[in-house]
Amino acid sequence: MTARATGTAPRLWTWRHLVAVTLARSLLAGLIGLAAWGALPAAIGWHPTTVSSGSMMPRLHVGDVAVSRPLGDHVPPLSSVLLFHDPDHPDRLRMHRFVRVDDDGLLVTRGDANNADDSSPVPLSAVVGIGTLRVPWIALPITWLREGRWLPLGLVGAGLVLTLAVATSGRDRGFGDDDEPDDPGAGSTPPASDDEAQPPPSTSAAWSGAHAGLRRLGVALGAGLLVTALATTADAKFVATTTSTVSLGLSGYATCASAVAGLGPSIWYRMDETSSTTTSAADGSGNNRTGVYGSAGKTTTTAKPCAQDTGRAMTFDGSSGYLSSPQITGALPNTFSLAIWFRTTTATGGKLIGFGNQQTGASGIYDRHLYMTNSGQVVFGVYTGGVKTVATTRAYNDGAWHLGVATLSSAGMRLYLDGALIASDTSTTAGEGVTNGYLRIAYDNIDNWTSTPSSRFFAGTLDDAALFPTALTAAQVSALYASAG
Amino acid sequence: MKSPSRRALRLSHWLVWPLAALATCAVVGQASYSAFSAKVSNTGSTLAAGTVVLSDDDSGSALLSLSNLKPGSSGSRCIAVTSSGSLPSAVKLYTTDAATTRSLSSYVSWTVTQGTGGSYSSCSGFTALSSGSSLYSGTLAGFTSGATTYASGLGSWSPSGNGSETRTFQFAYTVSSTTPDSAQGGTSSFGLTWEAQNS
Repeated sequence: MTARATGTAPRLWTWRHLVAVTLARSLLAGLIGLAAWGALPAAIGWHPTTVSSGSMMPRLHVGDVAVSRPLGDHVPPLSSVLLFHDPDHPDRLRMHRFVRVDDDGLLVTRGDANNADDSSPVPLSAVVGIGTLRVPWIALPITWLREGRWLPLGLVGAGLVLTLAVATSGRDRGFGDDDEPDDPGAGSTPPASDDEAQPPPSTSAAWSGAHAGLRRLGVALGAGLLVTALATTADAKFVATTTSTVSLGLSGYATCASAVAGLGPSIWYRMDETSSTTTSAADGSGNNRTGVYGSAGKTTTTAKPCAQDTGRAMTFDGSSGYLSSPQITGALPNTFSLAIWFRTTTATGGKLIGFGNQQTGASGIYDRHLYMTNSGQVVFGVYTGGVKTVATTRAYNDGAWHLGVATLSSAGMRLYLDGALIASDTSTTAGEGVTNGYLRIAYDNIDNWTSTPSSRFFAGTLDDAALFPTALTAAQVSALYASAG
Repeated sequence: MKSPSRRALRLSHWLVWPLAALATCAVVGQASYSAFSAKVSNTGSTLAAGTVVLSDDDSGSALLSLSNLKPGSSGSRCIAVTSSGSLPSAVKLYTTDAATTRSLSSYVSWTVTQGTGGSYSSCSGFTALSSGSSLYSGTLAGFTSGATTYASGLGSWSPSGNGSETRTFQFAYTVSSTTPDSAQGGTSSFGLTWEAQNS
């Protein structure tokens, strides 16, 4: 510390020196006072914390010590600054402003310098205290130490040492009024601490003791502050977010089978038979309308339109293969839907699916049917005092799987291909009055219909032929098609 | 000029304490009032010495918006997130407002990969990080229930705060080919949030 003069004639105090020493002591006393403000409240259970980032600017600065008092049983007022357990970092405290209560009764907080509320609201139980005292800048050296900023730390440290040196200088000096003996304490009391001001010279041991007590108090306060402030910091977090959204939807049905089943068919030939010579076609509708295959002219295949489905499809040769339902007793329906998957490259057309009055061979009465023309257009025909047809303009004999759906109801005829409405006729709402007909697939009479194809037999692969007792809606048809995956 | 007396010195030393006490009371009182009085207006400040800023390149569009998926459907999308703040920060990714019907999200496998290159408009040029590139791999249900806050968020990206940094996130989905019929017509939607907090 200060060099002690060992000579016999000590220099005298000067007024300038006295002012300098007083200022230096004032500065140190002020610092001790601030430290006391930061540290003493801890003695009554308040929480001093060092502000470690600037998201509460300009209200709180980095390096401030913020002292929070416990809430007790009180509810914090809106807009108060709260110290709470950081919901995003389990071991930290955060000090932000309380802006509102959310729908779940949680406290929404926000840093004054942030442009958005904190993303994680906190329960009342997470609140440690309410900001009450701000001791400015006193913990800046701690912040610097934490951040490894040695230059300002060194400058402040040097300044402090210099101030200490000035504050403690002069004890070896003499006075202008030599009417009192030299201070006995000046030479005999060793410096108790390098950090604190030395006691001023005193003639009385009581004075000296009081000063030593103050000094110890200052040391204790400084150390206390250092410990508490180092131990707890309040992260006033800067927050920024950017967002996007995701929405995924599964089509209505995971499989064709579930789609058909979900729509409630009255006849459903899945054509999953593994034999090419079987004459029995299982009905998947649950109505036990087991169909009849022609024993020849067909080949079972694993190719199928529905990627997610199990089962098979049936290829018809266009010259003898067919499939027919057992007799459908009663009048043929005027509200129904026909659906069938087909794949072909034929140039001679043929019957896809429809009603006739014979189970095998060519029917004499035949309508409510879907057929393909030689050029590949798909036609939906209903007989009501004359042939009524709606047809596609494009050709579907392109070698790819297509779903043909025809509906008849009081709303008229509708023809859907691949889930989309292609053509409709609202004036035709009923077919020919026939009782006890048959559902015919891949073969029947088509004579005298629009663009009659050259072949009654259809040459191509068919799957999931179904009759529904309702006119499927556009959405249902779309879902049916989408279920193919 | 005459040298100060012993008495003057003693007086000056004692005066220091009440003066310092008064001064610190004034400083702390004023600072406390301006910091903690709820009456003090609370407007966003531009005084902040540093800040964190985050943006992405989706121009407000949804990352994914798909309504006609089938079992077996798959695809991916990239999004580039840019940090342009001046403070070092840690960025986490989490979901908000997750909703699913018919348990669809249990049948969607979901991966989140971080890397560089690529953009919202196209993943072409995307390169996964050489290490730690996988942020998530599992069911979508696990993703939306696991990462819901900053604390539970995914990611190891810590922008330094020196200039802008961009990281690309690739999201890939696959609808399980064994999705049961009970998930027909199911939906899953949620928000994605990248949040940066200064470290």
